[in-house]
Amino acid sequence: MKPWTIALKDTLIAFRDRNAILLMIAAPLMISMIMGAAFGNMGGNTSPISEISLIIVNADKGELGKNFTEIISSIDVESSEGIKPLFAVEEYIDKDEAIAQVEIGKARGVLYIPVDFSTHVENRGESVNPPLLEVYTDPSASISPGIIRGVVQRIVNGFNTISIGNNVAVEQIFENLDENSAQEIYANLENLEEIIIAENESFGKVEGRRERIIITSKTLGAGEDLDLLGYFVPSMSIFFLMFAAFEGTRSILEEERDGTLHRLMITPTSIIEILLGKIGGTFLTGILQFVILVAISALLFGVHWSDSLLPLILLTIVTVIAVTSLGAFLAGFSRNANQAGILGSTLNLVFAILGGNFILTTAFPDWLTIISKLTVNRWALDGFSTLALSHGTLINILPNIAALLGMAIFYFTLATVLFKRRFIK
Amino acid sequence: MAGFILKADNLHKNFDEFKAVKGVSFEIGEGEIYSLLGPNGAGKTTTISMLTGLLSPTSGNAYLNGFSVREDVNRVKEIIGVVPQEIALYPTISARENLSFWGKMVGLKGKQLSERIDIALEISGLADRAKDQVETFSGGMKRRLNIAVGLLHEPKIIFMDEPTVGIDPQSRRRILDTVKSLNENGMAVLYTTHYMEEAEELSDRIGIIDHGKLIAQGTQEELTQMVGEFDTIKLNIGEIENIEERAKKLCKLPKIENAFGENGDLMLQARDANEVLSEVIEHLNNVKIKIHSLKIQEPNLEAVFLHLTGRALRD
Ligand SMILES: Nc1ncnc2c1ncn2[C@@H]1O[C@H](COP(=O)(O)OP(=O)(O)O)[C@@H](O)[C@H]1O
Ligand SMILES: [Mg+2]
Repeated sequence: MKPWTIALKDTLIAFRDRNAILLMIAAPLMISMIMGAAFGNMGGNTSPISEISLIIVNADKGELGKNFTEIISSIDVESSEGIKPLFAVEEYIDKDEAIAQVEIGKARGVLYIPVDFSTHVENRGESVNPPLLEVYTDPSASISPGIIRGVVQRIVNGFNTISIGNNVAVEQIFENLDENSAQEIYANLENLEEIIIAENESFGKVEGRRERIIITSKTLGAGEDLDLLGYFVPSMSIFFLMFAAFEGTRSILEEERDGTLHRLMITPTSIIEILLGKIGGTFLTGILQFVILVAISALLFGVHWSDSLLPLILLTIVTVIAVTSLGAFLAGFSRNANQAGILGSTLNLVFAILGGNFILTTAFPDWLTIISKLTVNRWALDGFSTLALSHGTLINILPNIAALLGMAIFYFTLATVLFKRRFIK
Repeated sequence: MAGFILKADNLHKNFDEFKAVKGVSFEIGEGEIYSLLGPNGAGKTTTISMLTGLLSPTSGNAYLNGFSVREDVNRVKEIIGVVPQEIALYPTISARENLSFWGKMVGLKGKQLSERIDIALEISGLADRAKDQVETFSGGMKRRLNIAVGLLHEPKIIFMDEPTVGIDPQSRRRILDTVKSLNENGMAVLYTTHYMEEAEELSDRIGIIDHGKLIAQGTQEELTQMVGEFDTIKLNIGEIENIEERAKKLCKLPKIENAFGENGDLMLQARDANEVLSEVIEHLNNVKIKIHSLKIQEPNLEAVFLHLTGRALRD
């Protein structure tokens, strides 16, 4: 009962402190975002549904490529600001240069029309290698890739149906295309959302589906945005969990310094109950901090923490226990609150670097890997990564849970010995 | 005679080689206010720490309501209230949250807890600031809350360790009045201070403590009788440099027993003030010190301390 009262008091103090909230919740989320953005795979800002900047690289030697370009340029949509072209088309000669524009965010997509496009269509698909229309889209955009792919697809559909069977002159094909396909596209733009959804779903299966003209679509950077956050958010959460937990256990020494520990000892409460309360408060605060981080990052940034809840819960609990025990050991070891603060920050940083919170441990040489595996951070981070990135299950993280529990027991035992020597005479 | 609520029996406390308390014995009757008066470092806090079970005595024992602080420390803790010398509160939570927490720690809960919190807020005059964070309080308000926490469980005896150090006059007044009204409701008080006026105003009995020893104790009358045959002359000479050295020089004049200077006042003790006055005035004239006022005082506790130790009672 008394330990519970103390634990609740400490949790109240932690969550009442604006700076603490900043450190516990805001900092890990913000740093994860910054790191994610630094790798260029963040965003998801709203794409305009008119004047989507599209670069067309028309390498086609014949007329059809030019025609294709014209069709795309002529599609209009009704936007809130009146009739506008759907695409703001720019033409480039060099494909790589065009792709670079997408990568730096200057354009939403690239359409590459290959050299033999006209020849192939004019031969009604009898050439050996069907031409490859290439579409590159901006990975950070959520809407425009679907539109670009959808429109290109529809125009190509027109080519395919028309060029099958009938001996139609090339000019006619394009008249038809112009009137039918373009109109169809235009009509369908009212169902823009459906197009996007359908296209995004079929995206990836597109390749090879069409007989006559093959479209390959690539999202530049291959959709690593969520994966990156799936690494950084747990990583930073562990790092800042440790900060908060060390603050929590350090408050034992602060209470000693500020006289509230003495006051607690004057109440009918044993020192063991007091210490249990303090450590329990750190644990409780840590659990709350982690739950909030998981919830916010999942809801706001779509971070996928785990396929199922149970392994995530267990891993969170043992991680917080391990970090809290380490903090308790540190507090027992330090002469005063000041020293505990300095030791804590140092250890936090060293453990974070060794444990892979900042540097990927895959690059570590063998000897460093061994040292790395002595840290709480490494086992916790590996565990969370297994759940978030490799769709791991409870079985996969059992070694992590065992290692973290082992460390918790080790540090807690040390802490008990130190506290006994210090407080129990 | 009513029983003793507190009995200290030859308490000693050593910190390694250093002897902080050297055999302190005294009793406090039920409903009595007892002051430990002594300068900083005299051993007041150390004594209180032993009486409240925070430090175990090197030797000797103390009993509260008959329970030994050595054997029955948990029973002792239930009947005592403690107001520590340092403000021991959580600054980042509100006054009410502090009271609620400390109330639970002494075993209060539910309706009783919230009633006691209201009373404590009333006593400390903080009812309208109950929801504010303690760190926004003035020094005096913090001291009052510090006291209120010690009163929550209505202890039989409350220990107040220098509760008025470094606060404004109004808060000080309020605290002294609080002590008196608590006492009128039957609470015994152990009050430590180095301000003689506070000890004089509050106490039924006073123990004068210096260098870890109780050098005298009794009622104020009993104590001042010890210097009854002396006159104390108080000369106001304004703020000047080296006032202590001036006092020491005056001490060398014949027939002056003790002298010290503080805050622009020179205090002299002699068997007969009239015998020494002319010499003192002449001496001050010679060194060109102007006397603003001169008073021959009734013997007080300051004089007692001066008489017993040859030193001033101050920090
Ligand atoms: N924990 C301690 N360790 C060593 N010396 C101490 C300790 N506590 C107090 N002292 C010393 O004991 C003496 C009495 O201190 P204290 O009881 O705090 O005096 P007071 O409360 O009257 O000012 C002082 O000289 C102080 O320095
Ligand atoms: Mg003291």
